[in-house]
Amino acid sequence: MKLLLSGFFSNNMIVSTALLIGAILLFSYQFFIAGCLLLGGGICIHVLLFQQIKQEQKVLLTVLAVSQQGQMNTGINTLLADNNIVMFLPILTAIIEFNKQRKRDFNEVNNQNLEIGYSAKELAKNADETAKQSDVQHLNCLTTATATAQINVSLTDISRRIEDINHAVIDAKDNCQHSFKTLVDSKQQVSQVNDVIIHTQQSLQQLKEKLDTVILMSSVISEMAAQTNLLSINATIEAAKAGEYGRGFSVVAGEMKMLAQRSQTSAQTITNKTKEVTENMHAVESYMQDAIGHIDQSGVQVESACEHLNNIVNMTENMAVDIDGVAVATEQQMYALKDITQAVEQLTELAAQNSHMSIQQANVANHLHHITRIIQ
Amino acid sequence: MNNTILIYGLTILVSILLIAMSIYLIKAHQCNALRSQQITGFNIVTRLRELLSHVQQHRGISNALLNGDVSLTSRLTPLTLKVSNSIDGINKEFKAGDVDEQLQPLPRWESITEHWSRLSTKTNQLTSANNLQQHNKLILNILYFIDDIAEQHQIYKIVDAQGEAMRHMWLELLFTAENIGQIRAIGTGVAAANTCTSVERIRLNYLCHSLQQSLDDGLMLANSEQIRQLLHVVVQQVTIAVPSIKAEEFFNLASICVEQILQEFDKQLQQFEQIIMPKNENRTTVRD
Repeated sequence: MKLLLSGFFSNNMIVSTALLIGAILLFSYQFFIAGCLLLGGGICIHVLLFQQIKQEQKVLLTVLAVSQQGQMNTGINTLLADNNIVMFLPILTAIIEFNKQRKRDFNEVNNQNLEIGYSAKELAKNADETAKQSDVQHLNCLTTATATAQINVSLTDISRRIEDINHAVIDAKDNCQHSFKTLVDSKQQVSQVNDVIIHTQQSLQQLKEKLDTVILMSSVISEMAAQTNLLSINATIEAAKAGEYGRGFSVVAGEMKMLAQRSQTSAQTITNKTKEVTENMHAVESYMQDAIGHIDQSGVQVESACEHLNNIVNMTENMAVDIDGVAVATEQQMYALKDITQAVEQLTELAAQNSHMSIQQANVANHLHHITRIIQ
Repeated sequence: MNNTILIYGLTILVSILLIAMSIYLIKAHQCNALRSQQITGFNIVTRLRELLSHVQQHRGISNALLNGDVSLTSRLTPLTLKVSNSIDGINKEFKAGDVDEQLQPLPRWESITEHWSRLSTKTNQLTSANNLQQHNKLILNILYFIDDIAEQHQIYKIVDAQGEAMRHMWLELLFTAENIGQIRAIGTGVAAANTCTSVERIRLNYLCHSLQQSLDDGLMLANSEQIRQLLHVVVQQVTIAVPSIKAEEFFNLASICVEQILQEFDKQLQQFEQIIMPKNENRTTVRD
């Protein structure tokens, strides 16, 4: 009922009623009254339309003002409800739709902006953490570089010492070889001495045989001396028997006796001396036998010494090969360590650069976060 | 003369009565049309709410699958069917509505259906990030479409005094549910991949931060405890180097929160339903 009354008594309804009555009167041939009503209605329509246009223009301007303040939905709906907007409704609807879409776009952009801001904040945190970790990495790299340099120095020293050991081993090897040669020479000389001793033994044997001959001849001489003594005695006896005539013969017999005695003594002396020589020869032979035993023993020891020296030479050669291997490995380690040192130095520089870049990133991220907060 | 005056008087009286009756009939027709429009809009919004819920679940499950958790495979096909059924139902609502609605092109709805038809067939071929982005766009379009339909069908005018406040609350509820839905989708993907990248961690932290702000502002008081628990789980078990929660477990936990928020929205819908529909009038049933 309220709606009915409000519609019935509105300006538009009054004008419409006047025009309708005018039309009815026109059909009833009441031209004057009908003309007046139609003219009045027309004037009213003109005035009302003019007022409506002015009102709607005013509302439209208000709507545009409201839309610029970002209060579109609430403000426009209230305005449309308070004012009877008809003519500009399509325009206003289009504006509302456009504004709604713009508001949604704005909300999306705002949400993205919030997310960018939050991400920038997180990025700043991460960059700060990265900067701290880069600093720690930088310090660790420096420590590693220092340690590597120390290892490099130690390796250089080890390399030098290995080189010295190598030289010492080579010298030892040369000395061993020289000693080996000397021992071999000694062995030859001992062998020669042995030969000489053997020859001496043979000579001694021959000498012994000759001494035996001498002894034999000495016994023959002794026998001849005994026979001669016996002859002298017989001659003395015979001379005694001859008396005066046999005096000279008795002198000769006496001289023969003396000669026989002297021959006997000399033969005895020869025999004695020969025995002494024989005994000495036995002693010499015994000494030489001992010497041969010692020489044989020395030969065995020299042989053993040679063998040991040979082993030492072989072991020295092996050691030299091993030392060469160690030297090569140490050299390779030094080259590798050099590369490691260079890499660590580069890492140190990079860590320092990373630290710097992380700080820059943190600053950029903070700046982004700041900008997004300003945009909000 | 008297007859003439009488004839004129009667003519004027009859004319006035005819005009009054016409105006009354026009107003009554307008009221009925408005109510019919609101009922149609209400039905579409109800179905759109179901569509929204299904697409959000589809986003979470497909993201988990693309991140390598095959244990949820059996849940994807039924969800795809549910989304398609919801779209068919909404199309039927449009056909059952006013002639204006049938004739009027709805670019956003056409965009939604086309987008879904492409997305549903290519889900397995997309990357995880692209799948998430496509679903987010689709869901945002559905949310805007709910707002458009509610406005176009003058649902916000049902409670004149609180129209704008209601609209604000509706949108706040739906966007909060979408916020939790995004947390669910990303978190389920992270749990499925068993690793949390920095981008996912930042996105999850941002979404949790927004949700926490909504809680701090006093919104969703009824569900605050459940949401706080979800935020706690995200911080403790998801945004870590190796997530310690299973994808399905996190999906179910987040789904409870989403459903609770959407139940608040359903309560609002029920209030509108009581206002615009008499008790003996049937309403379109959309619950599964």
